[in-house]
Amino acid sequence: MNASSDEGQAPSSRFMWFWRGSRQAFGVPGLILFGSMLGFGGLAAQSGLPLDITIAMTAVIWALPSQVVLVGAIAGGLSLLTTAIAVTLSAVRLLPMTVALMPLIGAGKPSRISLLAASHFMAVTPWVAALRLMGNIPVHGRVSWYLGLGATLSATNTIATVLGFWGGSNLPPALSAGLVFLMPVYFLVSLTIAAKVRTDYLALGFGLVATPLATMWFPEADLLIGGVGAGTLAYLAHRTQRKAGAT
Amino acid sequence: MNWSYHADLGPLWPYVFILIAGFVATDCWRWAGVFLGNSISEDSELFVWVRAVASALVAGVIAKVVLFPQGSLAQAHVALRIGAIGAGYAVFFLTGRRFVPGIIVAEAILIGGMLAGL
Repeated sequence: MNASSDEGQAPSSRFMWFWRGSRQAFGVPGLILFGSMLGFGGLAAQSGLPLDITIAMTAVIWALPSQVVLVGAIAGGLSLLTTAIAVTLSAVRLLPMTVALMPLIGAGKPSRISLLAASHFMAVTPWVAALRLMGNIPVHGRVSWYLGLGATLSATNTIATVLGFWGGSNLPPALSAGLVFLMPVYFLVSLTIAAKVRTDYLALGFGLVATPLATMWFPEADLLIGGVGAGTLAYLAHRTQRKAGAT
Repeated sequence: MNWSYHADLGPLWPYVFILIAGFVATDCWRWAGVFLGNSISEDSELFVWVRAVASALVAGVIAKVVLFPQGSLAQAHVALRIGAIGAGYAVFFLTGRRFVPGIIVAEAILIGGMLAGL
C-alpha cells in the first residue's frame, strides 16, 4: 500500500490512477461545466467564429472566462496586443491556483515535464476537485490522477463546445441565453467557495463593481483598471484593518 | 497596420492569433505556477495581493458578461440578469454554500423570465 515515492512506478499503477481521475470528470461539477461549454459554443457561433477556431479555443485555452473574453475581443476587432492583454489578465487566477496545488500534486517529486503537462488542465473545475480529493490519493499516483481528470474534462468539454456551436443557433433564445448565463453564475459561486481569507471576498465584491464602471470610461482597459485596481484596494483594505487591529 | 483577428494576413493568421492571444496568454500563468510553486509561500504579502487581483479580475469578467452580454443573453432585460444571479447567489448562501441549488434558481429565473417576455 505505502509505496515509497522515489521508487519507479509500474505503468499499470499509473494507468489505474489516470482511469480513476477520468471517472471523477463525470460528477455534478463536470455536468455544469459541460452546460457552460455548450453555452460557449453557441456564443462563438453567434459571434460569427468558424467551428475549428472555436474548438481550438476550448482545447488550447481551457479557461472559460478567458475564452469568453477572447470571443468578445475578436468580435470587437481589437488588435493582437490588446486582446492578449485582456485574455492574460482574465487568466491571472491560474497562477495562485497552480501554486496552491503544487504541494499536493508535487508531493511525490514528479518530473517537471509531467507537472507542466498537467498544468495545462488547471482550471476551476479540476482544481476544486483536486483540493477536495487529492489528499486521499497516494503521492505517486497524483499526477496521473490529475492528468486523467483534466484530459477527460478537456475532451468532454471540447465535445460540448462542438454541440453548442451546432445547436446554439437553433435553440430558443431563452435556452441559449441560459447556457451562456451558466458561466458567470458557476464562476461566481466557485470563486466564493475557493475564497480563503477576507481579502478574497473583498476582491470579489470590489471587482464586480469596479470593472463595469471602468468599462464605461475605459472600454479597452476595463479589466486592467477595474481588476488590478479592485484587487489592490481589497489587499490594502485588509492590510490597513489588520494593522489597526494589531496596535 | 491592423493586427486584429480579422486582418488580412494570410490563411494561418487566425490560428496564430488564437495561439498567442489564447494559448500563450493563459498557459504562461500555469507554467509560472509550476516554477514558482515550491519557492513562494502562500501566506506571503505578495501572494495575498496576487490572489486578490486574480479574484477581482475574474469578478470583473463575471460582471461584464452579466451587464454587457453578447449574443442571445443580451435579449434578457438587465434587471432580469442581475436579479437572477443575485437570487441564485443568495440561495447558494442560504443552503449552506451548496452550489447546485443556487445555480438552478439563477437559471430558472433567467429562463423563466425570458420565456415570460421580460
